[in-house]
Amino acid sequence: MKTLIFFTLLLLGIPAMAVDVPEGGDAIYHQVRNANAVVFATLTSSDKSFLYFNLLKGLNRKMPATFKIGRALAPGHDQLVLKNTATYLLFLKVNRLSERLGIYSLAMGEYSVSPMNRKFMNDYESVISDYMKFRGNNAALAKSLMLHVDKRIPYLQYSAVKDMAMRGMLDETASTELAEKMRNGIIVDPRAKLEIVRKISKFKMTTYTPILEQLIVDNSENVSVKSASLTALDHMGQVEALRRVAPAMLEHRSGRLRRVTIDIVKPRN
Amino acid sequence: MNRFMLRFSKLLVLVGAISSIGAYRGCVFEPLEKDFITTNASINLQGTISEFNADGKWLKNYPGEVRLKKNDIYITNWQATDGTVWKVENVAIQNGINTIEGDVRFKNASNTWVNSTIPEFLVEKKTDLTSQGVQKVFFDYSAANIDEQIKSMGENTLNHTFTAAELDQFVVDVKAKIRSIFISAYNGTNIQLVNAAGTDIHTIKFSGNTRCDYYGESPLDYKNLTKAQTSNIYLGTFKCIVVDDNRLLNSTAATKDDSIAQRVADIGTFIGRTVVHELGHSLGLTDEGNLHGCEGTHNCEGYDASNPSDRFDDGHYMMDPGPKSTIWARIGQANSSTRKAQVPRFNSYNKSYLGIIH
Repeated sequence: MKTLIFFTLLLLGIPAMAVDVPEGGDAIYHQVRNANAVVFATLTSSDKSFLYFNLLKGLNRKMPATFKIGRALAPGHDQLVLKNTATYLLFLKVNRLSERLGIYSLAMGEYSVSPMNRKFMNDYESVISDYMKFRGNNAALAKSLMLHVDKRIPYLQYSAVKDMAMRGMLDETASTELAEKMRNGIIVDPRAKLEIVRKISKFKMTTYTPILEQLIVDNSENVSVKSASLTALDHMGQVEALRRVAPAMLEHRSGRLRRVTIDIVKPRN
Repeated sequence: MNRFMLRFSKLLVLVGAISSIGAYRGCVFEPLEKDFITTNASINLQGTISEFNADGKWLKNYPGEVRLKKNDIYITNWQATDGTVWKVENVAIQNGINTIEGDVRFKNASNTWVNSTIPEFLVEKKTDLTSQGVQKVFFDYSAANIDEQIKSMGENTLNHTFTAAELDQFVVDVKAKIRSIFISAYNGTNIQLVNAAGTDIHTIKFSGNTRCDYYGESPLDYKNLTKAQTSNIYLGTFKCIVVDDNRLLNSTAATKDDSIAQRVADIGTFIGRTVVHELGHSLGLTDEGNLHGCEGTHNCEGYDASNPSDRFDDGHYMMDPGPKSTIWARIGQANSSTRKAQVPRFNSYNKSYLGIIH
């Protein structure tokens, strides 16, 4: 009991830390390499010090049926707002001493919590298992991730595309395969789209100019995707396409889109 | 040409770009920034009604009329320009967010009104911010293995075979670049680098331990109420990403044939940006309850989706969230495939906050 009180007081005394993580640090590859335990769990309650969970499944480690996460052990803990009864994918760091008290920490702070739909639990499990199974074997991992992209589950799709990009697996052929998936409406996650647009730009895949135009004028697409698409058209020298889309972007409410468009269309000496 | 005129002419060039598509525009040259915090009760506005040709070149300014809106309500009637410059003084700024926009018009040769607009911009009045005076900052390189981590990032990303002396110089030059990135980012604020730790001094503590999780971490301190704090910079993670993951060569325009000087610039900018970023957190950027931050107290991409702001830019802005900050933006490049310098900087909103508290 004394140990628990000591731990609680210690946790309450730790200030909130803001962190800078690598690009794609919230995707599965970086999470898995920094976590000792990957679990599916349902939040049952929370207080100032802890988040209380019921375990649904531990993927790589035996875990107790109930456990708690020390908020102060997670950088950015002040911002951690989760919903009771919701199910989460958690990447955990295990400390043997605190584990005896049923206390765990998030491996990468708030980036280690991802809400998930229980009906996709098997999909999550198969994707994460592949990350673990093919660690160190980029070719096999790339092959499996490319298939997982088709699941259309946003976090899994984002992770697959981002991790392939971050691991240097997206050459022109693989990027074309992803661009085709985007053309066919398979890519649903905006950050996955953003990465694919960047590859279209990098490899100057002008075939996809109409797709980029569509992304720019589609009001449901996010500002980063539109912005990257504008930059891609410029990088690929697609002047006619830019002429068609620029007027609307110059009038767009987003200050960022206006700036990006002005930077592209301004006269150059 | 003085500094103001130079900036004004640059603004005209920017606005001129729009003209290749629309020939007239209401523009604002005071204030220069279009998204900022103020503690003042009012601001003055000045601008022009300008015409541009099809090539985007500024042609002329017109005498005409202007009327302004604040938060969707007109706050002036049509007012005539003074010559070709419109001025609206003492525009009251209410607490919180003020969205300002406007209409402009002038009569053309056939005496017909030509109408255009002044695009929306944001002015936020805050009453809880005051100057915190000087913030001194000390770079602490005393931990073990720091130089080895930096050397590894040079040795393993270039074809060049380094001598021991060249490697030592590489470390010296990277540290100098970190320093220059820091000084440049905080230029115009009362942030001073000092040579030793002490009370009221913020310490940037560099670590050389092997790891691959965070680039850095820092206590968030809105309004910078505690000056003696510590930010941690983990060079092991930089080395892991650059060398072990090979991302510098995979994900940017960097090649093994680059010069040593180029690699000094890449690595120094990369680390320096995180140093600036972490101190930014300890100065209060970008508190979620007070400065519209999100994603772990960072610049909020979502905010730009629903406001006329420009606060997130893939890592080109200092306080952009880590997972969305590309490695090419972090090393000071505009994109992933070509060498085009774009040094990371604070967005205008963050810069205005820093300008008030320091």
